Amino acid sequence: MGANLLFVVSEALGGVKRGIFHSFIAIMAITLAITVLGIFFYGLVNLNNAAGNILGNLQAEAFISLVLPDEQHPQLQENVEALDERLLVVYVSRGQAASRFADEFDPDLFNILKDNPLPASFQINLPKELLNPDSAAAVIRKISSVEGIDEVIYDRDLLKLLHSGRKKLTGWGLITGLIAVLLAIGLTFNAARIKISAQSETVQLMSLLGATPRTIRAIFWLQGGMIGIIGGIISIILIASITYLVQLRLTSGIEIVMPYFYLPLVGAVLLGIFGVAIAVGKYLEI
Amino acid sequence: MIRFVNVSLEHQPDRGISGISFVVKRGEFVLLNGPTGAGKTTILRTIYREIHPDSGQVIIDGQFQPNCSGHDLSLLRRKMGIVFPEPHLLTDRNLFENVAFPLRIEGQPRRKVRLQVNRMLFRFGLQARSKSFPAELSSGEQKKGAIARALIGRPFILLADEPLANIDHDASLEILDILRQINEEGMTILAATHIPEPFKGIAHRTLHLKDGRLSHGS
Repeated sequence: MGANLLFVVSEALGGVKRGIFHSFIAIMAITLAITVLGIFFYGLVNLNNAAGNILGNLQAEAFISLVLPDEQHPQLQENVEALDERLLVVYVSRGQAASRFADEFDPDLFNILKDNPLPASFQINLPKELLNPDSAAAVIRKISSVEGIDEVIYDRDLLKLLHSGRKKLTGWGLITGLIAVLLAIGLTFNAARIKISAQSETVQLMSLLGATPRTIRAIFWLQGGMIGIIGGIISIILIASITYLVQLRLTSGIEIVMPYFYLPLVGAVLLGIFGVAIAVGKYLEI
Repeated sequence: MIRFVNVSLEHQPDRGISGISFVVKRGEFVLLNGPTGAGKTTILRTIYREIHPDSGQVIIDGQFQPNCSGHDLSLLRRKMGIVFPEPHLLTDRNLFENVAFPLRIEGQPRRKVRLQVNRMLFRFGLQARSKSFPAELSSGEQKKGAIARALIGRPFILLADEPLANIDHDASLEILDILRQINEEGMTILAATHIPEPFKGIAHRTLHLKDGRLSHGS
């Protein structure tokens, strides 16, 4: 194989160029599938990131009983933190609470009331792993049961909404992705089948002139890989263009990211080789 | 070099060979003669293992390999030069590339390929046509190109199926001269033809076939 690697490469390249129409169909099939898949993948990643950002800012607030003396608050914080070492607990004193309230609402309110009715509290950031309705509810229940905590509030509805939205999105993304992949394999497979049929004379001659079955198969696999590379590059350009256009239209300042930008290329190459490999296994008679 | 021992095979209903036994010795020029459907091509295809006998033994270069396939079969075929009834030159490549094809399959270095192919084309008087595509060549030139391709890998035997088919008289004479020359240089030749007359004085022996059986000669 090593000795005739040059032959395999040049025949594969020649095969792509010679059967340009079939190559074009295969390239378009892969481009279409990978672009659809890429848009869903990156869409999912970005929506997940956005949801993650919102969830990251989601805090629970545990109000401390007004009858608990201030000196016992540090101990209470330790008790809350001991529930789960992943909890990030920030103490907000009554004074800080009043000051925030005054900043946000009415600075004169406390002058009228002559007293600060606001309790001290803990602002609790839940770790990523607990940012789902069930886990969050469980930990909130635990915090509520700590002696000295009056009430714990958090935006349960938002959490539920984001969580179910994420699940649905992932589900639809996977289904659409799977359909796109199957479609691409089918189209690549068919294009490869036609290609094999169009090159049958060359294949037969190669075989009779002493090309090993492995060499002949390798030529087709490599053609699949080459078609995949071209399809992958076109897909990356398309996805990046779409990302750029969407970014231009977004006014919210959210940055659309395209992590692992080479993934479409890897996917396209694998798809090309896989589609061709199936066709070779089924239709190549050596 | 090639020994058929009671070989029979039926590759299509009522088409094949039956009880064929013969020997081709090193350096011989043996003709397989018979009408269309007599089994000439079947014998050649059996030798280069495109089809396999139902019974009997085909011994090639002293080796009986009934289950030869894959890599081993490819190596065996590299040792044979095959000329098909139709030239079977690849239409999308020029003559040089067609003749170079077996050497490229073997993975020979580019320089060696160029040298050997140019030498071969010169010998066949085709050097001026090296850049021409098959469609631009006469049928005689195509046939000579096919023989050049068969010989380029220095095979131990040339299997030529109807080497004079579909070419004019002058081209036939040229090809007969080439076959005579290479046989004189030591190349073993087994050629199938339904018109044996042009080979008189060149072929050493003729095996006559009829309905898949040897009628005389062995």
